Amino acid sequence: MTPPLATAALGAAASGPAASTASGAHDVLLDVIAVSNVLVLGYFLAINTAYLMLVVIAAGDFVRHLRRTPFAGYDDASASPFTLPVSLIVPAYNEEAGIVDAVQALLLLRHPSFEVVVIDDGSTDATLDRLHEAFDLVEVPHVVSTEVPVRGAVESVHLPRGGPVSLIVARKRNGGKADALNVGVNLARYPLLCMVDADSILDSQALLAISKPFSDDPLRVVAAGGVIGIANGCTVVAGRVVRVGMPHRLLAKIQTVEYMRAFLLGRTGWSRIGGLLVIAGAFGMFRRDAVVAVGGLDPDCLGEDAELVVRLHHHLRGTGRDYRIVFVGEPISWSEAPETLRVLGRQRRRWHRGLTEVLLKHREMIGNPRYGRVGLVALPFYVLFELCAPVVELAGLVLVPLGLLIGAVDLEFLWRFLLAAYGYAMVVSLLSLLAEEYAFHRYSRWRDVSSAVLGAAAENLGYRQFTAWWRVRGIWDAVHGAPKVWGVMTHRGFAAEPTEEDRR
Amino acid sequence: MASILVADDDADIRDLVAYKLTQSGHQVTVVDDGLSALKAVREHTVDLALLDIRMPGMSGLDVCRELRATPETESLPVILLTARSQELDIETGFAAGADDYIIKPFSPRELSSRVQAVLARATR
Amino acid sequence: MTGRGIVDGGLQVLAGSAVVLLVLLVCVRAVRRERERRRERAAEPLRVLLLELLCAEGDEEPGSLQALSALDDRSWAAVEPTARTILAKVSGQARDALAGLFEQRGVATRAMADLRRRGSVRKGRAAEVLGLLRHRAATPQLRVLLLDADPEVRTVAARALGHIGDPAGVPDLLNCLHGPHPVPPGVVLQALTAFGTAGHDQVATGLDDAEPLVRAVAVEALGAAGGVVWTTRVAAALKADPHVEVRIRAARALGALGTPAGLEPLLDAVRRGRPEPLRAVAARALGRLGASRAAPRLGELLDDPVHRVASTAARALLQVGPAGRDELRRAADGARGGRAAAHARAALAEAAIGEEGARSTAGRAAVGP
Repeated sequence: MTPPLATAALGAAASGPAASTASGAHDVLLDVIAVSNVLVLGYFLAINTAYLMLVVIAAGDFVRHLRRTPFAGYDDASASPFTLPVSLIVPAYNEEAGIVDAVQALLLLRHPSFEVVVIDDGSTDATLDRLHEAFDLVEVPHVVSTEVPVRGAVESVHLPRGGPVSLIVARKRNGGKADALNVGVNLARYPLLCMVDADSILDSQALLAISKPFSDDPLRVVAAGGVIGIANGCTVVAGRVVRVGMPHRLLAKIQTVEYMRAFLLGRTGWSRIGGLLVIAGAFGMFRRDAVVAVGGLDPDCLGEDAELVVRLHHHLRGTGRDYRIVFVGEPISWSEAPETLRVLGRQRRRWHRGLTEVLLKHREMIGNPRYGRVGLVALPFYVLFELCAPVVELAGLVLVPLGLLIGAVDLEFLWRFLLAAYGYAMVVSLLSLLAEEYAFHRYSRWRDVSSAVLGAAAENLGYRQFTAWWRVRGIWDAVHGAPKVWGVMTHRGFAAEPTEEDRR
Repeated sequence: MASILVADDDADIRDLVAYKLTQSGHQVTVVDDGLSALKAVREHTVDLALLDIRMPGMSGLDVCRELRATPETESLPVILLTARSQELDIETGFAAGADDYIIKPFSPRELSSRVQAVLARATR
Repeated sequence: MTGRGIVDGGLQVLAGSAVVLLVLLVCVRAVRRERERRRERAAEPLRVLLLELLCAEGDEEPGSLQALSALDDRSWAAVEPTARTILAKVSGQARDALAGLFEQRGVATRAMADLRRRGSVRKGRAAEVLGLLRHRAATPQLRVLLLDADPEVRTVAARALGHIGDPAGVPDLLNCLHGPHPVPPGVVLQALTAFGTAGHDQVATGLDDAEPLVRAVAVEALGAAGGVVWTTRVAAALKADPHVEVRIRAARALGALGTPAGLEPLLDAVRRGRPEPLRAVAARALGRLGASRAAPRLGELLDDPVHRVASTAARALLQVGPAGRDELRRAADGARGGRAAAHARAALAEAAIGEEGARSTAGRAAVGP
């Protein structure tokens, strides 16, 4: 097999007078680099084809859902006394600026029966004071269940005076986001848990929509993930998104397209195949008994949200129970996306570190037929196309110019191949945009469309390469890092301040 | 004839209520969220406020509490609009100082007579 | 060079797809917006007619009804979505007038025909409309639809039967809980509670069904719909049903029914050794029953090692009158040990701050004229 990139035309470059002894080794090097380049580019095609398939599956799912929304029965569910009650768990660490608006907006969601459980994870600012003022809270004696083990003990529990307002606020010793969520699980009184970030903005239908799978298929559904949209550029009034728009900054535009492709369509596709592995911590719902059965969230794992889902798969597949973990494509929880490279880099590094840790922790499931589609399809995909993607991408960034330099690759051919690889990625993004436009058309202005197309194009020029670098550093952190340092929430970039880890 | 404030984020309900009350000879102001409702009460003379409980930003309950806590509006008649399933809301609504409540789905005719009754009670 | 040929071909395909996708993106958007704009423009003047119909005074047929039923199909298509959303938001005469309009426009007739046709989406939409219109004549066909191959169609049929409220549908609603993929029990439950006393006898036949899910839903439906005459049967289910889920729902039903006959079986169900979820639900039901005789047993539960049982018992004690409060106060003073004291104190405090607020707002309200 002759690699198409190894062009014999460049033999001349190697035949200098002093090079005769080294020429054998040089030829081998040429071949190695040429083959690697083909592999890298082949990998690009494979990863994009895989994404294309997911997007197509998801688009099919959208069409199906769209045609069926007229009889989805949301009105009945929102009025039914038999709709399962939900405990919304909101971990908060130094959120004094937004916590009151956030809780107020959550209390006004459409759903017949729910409570809001706010866990103040040892904030050093006035988070708790703000809540006290706004909701007229009173500290009450408390007994907290110990079903899920926690690290930072509950220090006080507060309820609003003059109840019945379904709000409970607990103050605990700092122990990290996962630990705060675990306290929330213990405090929750209802059979469904919805984990929400304090800075996310939920659509008013969001709670009804994400709990629908649980009432449609109560015997099997154990978890459901919701869509995360990017709030930058949207008009927010009183804790609710009233007008959806594309962000102004290019960096955020790119992320909007990326979220749409990877989160909205990618996860819808995975859900359809039955291999959903990630439910974003910013908006996900779980059956309380299932979470308690697996011992809550893992405070040692950085990607505690993804880890919980994989652990649920691990546990439930292991016990042979028939279960489903699904994704709900509409409506949305909106989050602010980083607008500077520094913050974005930190976020991606953390995300990839989380992914690496999850995959390492559950490596016995990978490729294991005992775990069905999760073991045979989803996890290998994540290893091959998520975990390794930045490594291959960086390798390509080094090898391709190197190949060019020493003459293993011909320039004419190279740019075409690069164009094909990145063009393919862009086509997948465009298809995602089209699917979104067809199904949800949330973006109201024409300007938003051109922004999105711009974002889809710009993603390939610099953004991909930067994220690859951050993600590789994330892998490095996971393999070499000291997990305990990250166990405290302040070190986890829960808010956007620089952390010790970054100053090192 | 009275001046009535209608606050609801659902345009259909807002239009329907406004149409019915105008038909009954009242002067109607409509707003679509709690904060605007408070503002409207402070800026115009309002004889009665019809507030939806679930509104973005500030619920009808909070508006009602706020009205009761302000001396100028503490006796303003308030009717709350609530969904059938939210029984807790009704209880909380009376605790917050509402004069009456109307459950959705509602009959425009009944709404009109409830408004009349509350107005009559207030002027007595 | 074939490699280059493939790449060139690939590039062309990609460029082509990108262009096609962009064009599609623009077209899909432009067409949708234009259609929406046109519909809005057509619907705007008709909206007033609709409001007029809904707010008509007196009993004679309003002119707006005639105007709306005489609309051409295009104008009707523009106003129908609004009319449909409003239908779910109004009651009484306004609802009747609107439903009458739909009937006159032939919406129900068309939907009835659609129920027989192919295509899940068509059937589902038709069932939804018929339920919304409470079109009684649709009952037989909706009953058939409960056995449809598509789970979402089965679900909408169940909801529609509940809206229509013809007790003839009850046996089929119970029946659709059989099989590996039953209609969501919550949906069936809601539908079953919509029939009123007329449906109780039919619902009660489900108590003898071989399928536990049917018994569970039947027993809970009787509780939620106030089937007081069935209390002894419900109590028997709590005592003797082999399936724990049925017993849990029976306990809940006894709480909802609120008759004294529920007391003994519930007191028995909270005993140690009974399944844990059953104990918690039964403790809660004892609270709803509000019988002071339950206080001592609930008091014992305050010390229960299962958190959920103890905390539910504490809240239930708040509901059983002075005897319950006394029990809580004694426990809070340490009469039943540390754990019980903690639960009792938490419950008492919760109740205290609730009442405190209520009193203060009541005081404020009393200042008015």
